Amino acid sequence: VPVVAILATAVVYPLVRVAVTSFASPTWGFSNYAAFLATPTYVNILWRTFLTAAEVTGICFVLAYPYAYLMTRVGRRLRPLLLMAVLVPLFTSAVVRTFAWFVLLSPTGPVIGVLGHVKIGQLFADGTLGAVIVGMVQVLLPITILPLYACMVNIGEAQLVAAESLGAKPWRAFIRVYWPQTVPGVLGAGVLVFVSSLGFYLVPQLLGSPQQELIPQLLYDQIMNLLNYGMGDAAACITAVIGLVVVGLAFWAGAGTARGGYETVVVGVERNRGGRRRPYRLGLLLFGIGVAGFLVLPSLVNLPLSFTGSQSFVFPPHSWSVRWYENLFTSTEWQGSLLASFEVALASAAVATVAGTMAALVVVRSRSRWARRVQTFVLLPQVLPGVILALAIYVVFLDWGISGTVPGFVLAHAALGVPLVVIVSVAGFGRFEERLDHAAAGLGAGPMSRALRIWVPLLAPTVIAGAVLACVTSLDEFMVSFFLQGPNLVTLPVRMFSSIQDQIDPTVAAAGCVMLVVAAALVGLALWAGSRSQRSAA
Amino acid sequence: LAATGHKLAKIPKAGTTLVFEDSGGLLLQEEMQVFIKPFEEATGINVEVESPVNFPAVQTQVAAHHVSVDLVEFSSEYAQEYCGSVLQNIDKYFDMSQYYANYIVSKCGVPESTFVHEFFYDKKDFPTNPPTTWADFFNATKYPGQRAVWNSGDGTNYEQALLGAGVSAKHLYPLNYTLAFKEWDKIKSSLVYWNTAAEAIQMMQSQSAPIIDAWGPFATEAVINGASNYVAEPANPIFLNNQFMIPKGAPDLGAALEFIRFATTTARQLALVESYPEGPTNKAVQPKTFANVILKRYYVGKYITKSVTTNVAWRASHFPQMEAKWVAWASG
Repeated sequence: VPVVAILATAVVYPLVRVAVTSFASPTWGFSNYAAFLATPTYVNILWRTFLTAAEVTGICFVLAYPYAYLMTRVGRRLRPLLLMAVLVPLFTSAVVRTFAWFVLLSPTGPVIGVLGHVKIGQLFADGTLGAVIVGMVQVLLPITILPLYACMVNIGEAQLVAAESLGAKPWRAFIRVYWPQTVPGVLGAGVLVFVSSLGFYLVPQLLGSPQQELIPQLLYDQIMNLLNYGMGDAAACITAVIGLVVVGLAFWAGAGTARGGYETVVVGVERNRGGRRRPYRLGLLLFGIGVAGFLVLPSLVNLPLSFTGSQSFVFPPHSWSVRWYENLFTSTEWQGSLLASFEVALASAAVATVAGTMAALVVVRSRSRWARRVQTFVLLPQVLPGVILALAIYVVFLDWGISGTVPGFVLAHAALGVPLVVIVSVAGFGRFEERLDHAAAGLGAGPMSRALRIWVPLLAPTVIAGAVLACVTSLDEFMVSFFLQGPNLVTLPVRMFSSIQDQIDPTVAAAGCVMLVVAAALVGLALWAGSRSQRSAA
Repeated sequence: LAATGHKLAKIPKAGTTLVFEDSGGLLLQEEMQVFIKPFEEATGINVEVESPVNFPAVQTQVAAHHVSVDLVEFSSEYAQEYCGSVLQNIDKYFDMSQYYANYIVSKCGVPESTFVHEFFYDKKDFPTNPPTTWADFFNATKYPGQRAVWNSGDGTNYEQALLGAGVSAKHLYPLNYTLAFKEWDKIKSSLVYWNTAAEAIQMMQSQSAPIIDAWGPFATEAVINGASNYVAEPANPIFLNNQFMIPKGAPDLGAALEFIRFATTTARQLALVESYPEGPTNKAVQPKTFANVILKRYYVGKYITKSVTTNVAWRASHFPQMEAKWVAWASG
């Protein structure tokens, strides 16, 4: 019930309001849809949005598939490094990572400085489609790799060995035996990346130009600049419907495992890992190192910039100072944002964890088909373009007077965190051996004793992992927070975005470095909790 | 207020909080020093500033009768277009004769300050014979190099293009979109875009565009603060202005009115224009000394003789059209 209440309040009702407004404002009818579809510019932007999303999805797949494959092949020493290369960027703010590209690809930045003299370098300068795609791919690559890895790690090595021992060439064994088993993961990852790309505002806004304008920017412009709710909502509905059709087709085709791979990484659900580990080629390793570098290295540009002596993003800095760190920890605005982010993150994580854990227990223990449907329903926030959800929540929360307030933020962020908690908890609880409980009861242990000595130790790591994920999701959340911000509540990602776009405040680089450390610590905690869970289950 | 003979419904009290939505950026930093902090000290009223202005939120608050914003500082077109629907009449509380008549656009706005749209060129790229007119700005053959332009249909991009095409300032409206885009087409391949003042300042700091089409205040501040390679060319500077507005149902009307009165006094306006590249709306303000000599240019030469004033009423009622056409052209 709590999960349904949260999602109904913060997701379903706002979406219904958007749909109704698209038909009702300024007058009832299809005028907004007709006007949108009759405007070639808007149709072009819609088409461009889907095309860009498809390109980003394709590139992410090309980079992620071999990388995920490599992760399943390497040994114990290299594997955590490859995993960290995925997880640390994932939990470092997308604003920080996009800012890094903003600096790297600027006309005076290091990348354009080196490659700008050759034609290919200009293709990736700020303001080009190349820059937008590079930025989006880097931000979305981790969520492509994880579902693929989750899928691949469960494929038995013995099957490939058997196929080859029966005379199949390696590539044929791969095509006929391995690839079909990864299709659900490919489709799952594809859905996540494609939907995320549809709703991406941050990257095209910072790295693009009008020639790359996408639906999220059009929506923002219609609502925030022109106050044209009807047209904005119609554009949102058209995008959402087409996006959901794509998602539906993907699920129909077998993307049932589109869960982000979090359960595998955090809780450690792995099966069929027996058998001899197959060797991997040096080329694949070098490719993997290149991808890892692409994921991690851009954020390092924040380090020198955080020590710049001038109020400028010009790279490399001409003078040095620690004043941006000082500003981060002493200015009222930045302190307020730091505190607000942690306050919202902790509160929303608590709400999402309690509600998500309850829902997961229902899903795992109930045999009702409705319980399974709840699990699907919970995924709703993950399969909707971010900007559309943000717009929907914004309009409703404004009306309720909770936009820009802590309760409003907590409710919205809890709705975004619940899917992750449920996914992780269902995976973790599903491995709970009830026989242990029955055995303890048979030996005379009372309910309280069983709860404290069996249930809590076994389930706590999973609950902690889910809570950490919800907390990190809230800390990094940008789009909803961008719409919901108020004079007294500006979260850290929004403050950072504003410091890039509105103020040229290098404090963003200092904040980026601090967030990197915090995110790494939280990821470490989640991995530790996951490994505890695995050991407990064993 | 007393001088105007009007009484307030409620006298503002020390210790209360005024919620003020402001355009933000460098202007806000200056306003903090010039009249926000002095107002707090003088009245004991706490000013809580939110920036940038979120007008849809204000509009929604008014529609829901749940208003939390007391005062808004925003462009004059909003004071014109939303007067009576979102904004309340406030001219009766002030002696409007003290302001220049061409900046009074509706009963719902009090002119705060003026500013210009103009272009700046990098003297490194044009050491001799620099561009001096809007026609030069749109001539990429004679003046090659990238032009950084505000990506906005509700700025003055149309007016700039029409001036470049030779249309006189008196005949700019109704805007001839076809002619304007014909001018922009001529330099489209040389354009890079900025969305916010910060982005444009970054371009000036990195000297990444030889010519920057900019808002006078932030670009002048950038020049003063280090981007000294850039020179302002006051060819037909286009004057705009920001207004103070009060939403209908604002919680503390008395404090909002008192703030406007304070911020538009001769002393406060003088303090603003002597230290920041904006102009006064109060006729009594005649600045003599300036924090930086560059600021003096707003009161001499072409800024006086060749300045262009926009038709706020026409622009306000055509904002959606202007924006839609710009998006169509720029994204194509």
